[in-house]
Amino acid sequence: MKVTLPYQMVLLVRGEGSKIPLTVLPHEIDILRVMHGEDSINLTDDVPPIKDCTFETADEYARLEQYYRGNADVHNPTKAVFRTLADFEAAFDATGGADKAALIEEAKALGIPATKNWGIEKLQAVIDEAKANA
Amino acid sequence: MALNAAEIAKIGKVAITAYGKNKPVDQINVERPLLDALLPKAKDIVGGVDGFTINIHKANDANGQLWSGNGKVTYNSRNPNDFSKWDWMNHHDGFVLNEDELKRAGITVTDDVGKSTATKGEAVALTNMVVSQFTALEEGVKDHINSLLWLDGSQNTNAQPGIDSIVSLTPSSGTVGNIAASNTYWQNHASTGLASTQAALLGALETAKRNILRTKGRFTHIFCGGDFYDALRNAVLASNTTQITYGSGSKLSIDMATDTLKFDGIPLTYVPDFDTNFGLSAPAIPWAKRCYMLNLANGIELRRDTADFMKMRYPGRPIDQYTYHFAMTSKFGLGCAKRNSNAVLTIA
Repeated sequence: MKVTLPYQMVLLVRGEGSKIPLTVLPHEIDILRVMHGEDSINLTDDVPPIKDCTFETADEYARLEQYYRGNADVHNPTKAVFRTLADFEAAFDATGGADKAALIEEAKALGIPATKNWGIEKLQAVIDEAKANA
Repeated sequence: MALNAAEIAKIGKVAITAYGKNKPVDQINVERPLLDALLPKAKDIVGGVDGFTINIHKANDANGQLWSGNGKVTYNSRNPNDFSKWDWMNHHDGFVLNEDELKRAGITVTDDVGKSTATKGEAVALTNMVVSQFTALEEGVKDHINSLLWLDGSQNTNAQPGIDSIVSLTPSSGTVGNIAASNTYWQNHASTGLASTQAALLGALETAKRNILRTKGRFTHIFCGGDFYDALRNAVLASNTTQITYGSGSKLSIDMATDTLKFDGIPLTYVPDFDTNFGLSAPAIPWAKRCYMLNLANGIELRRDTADFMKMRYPGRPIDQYTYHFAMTSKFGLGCAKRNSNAVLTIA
């Protein structure tokens, strides 16, 4: 599956003295949080040096597994977030992940504990329901 | 005429293959120019609670005034200094051998204390297994340390920031070495998405140089990946044609290789690991497209523990296995005294 996603900047916080700017794709944020801790990844509005990325999901999954490989005593954080390639691909709809990422953000803003494993239809349904009940 | 299988089987009873006993010829290890440049000037890690600091001069807080007659003047309080703060990381690599595999490789190990002597087993050894293992360990450690010096530190919870973080593609973001990168004095020069033309590339190099010189900085090394190197070389070649006139009967000898690409007298050093992204996956801007102008004289420095840098370690043997463990450990990290004395350029 071919997907195009925008890059975004996050800060990897390692104490007040070290906030490392990282240019990542949206799905990497959860992996980074598993790896470095929930509070260690701060979203930022800084402009990334490159706009977006088009990738094959299989290639991207392999890339994530390879880059975030963990330690002998820490399991591969990519596997912790996306257990299999199918799980990873489930995070994207057929036209690309941008729409889904926006829906997840919208759902979270409404207090819905949405995850990347939710499909587009489910996300849309719970958002509509939450808005109707608001 | 080729031998058939039956003939080969018959000959196999009376002859053996002429196996070489040469030292194994390296097929995979590459040059590590950053590590090679940093090591001779590396400073010592001397302990301390949490890493090490480098003092910097960040502002003059100038308060100059003109006056005449009975005009009043003022005085201010100054805070010209700060320090950047860094930490080191612990590195380990190790392997294990057991007595059985050693014996089969022609090496007999006993618990006897005394002079070691060669055995008949050496006759079956094509190459010294132990020497090969130690060579592989050392080369592997150098490879990993070299990659850790370049990568931004996000790849591992115990990794410290490397050049990718110190000389950032987004130089005004984050906090580097305990100093907010929003401070303009604490920003490296970065120029991304450059066209592969001579005007664009030389223009970017000149701008980077001028920005570095502006605050009395200098760059001592230029490292780049294959894509950047080729883009610059091709751009220069395309716009510089030499015409040679020669008479009939004379011979020409033309070496078409590019000897050295230099900028401001400093050679562009090709970093092989850039083209493979250090064996990892490509980041947003692949390493092969990058060019780093670094100040390794008084800008970026390597700190390492002299007592524990690429040090061989021999952990004790387990009580229930006849095995031998070998490790190599290191304590090291990068520090930066002058971030604005470095630059990174990337092609589109």
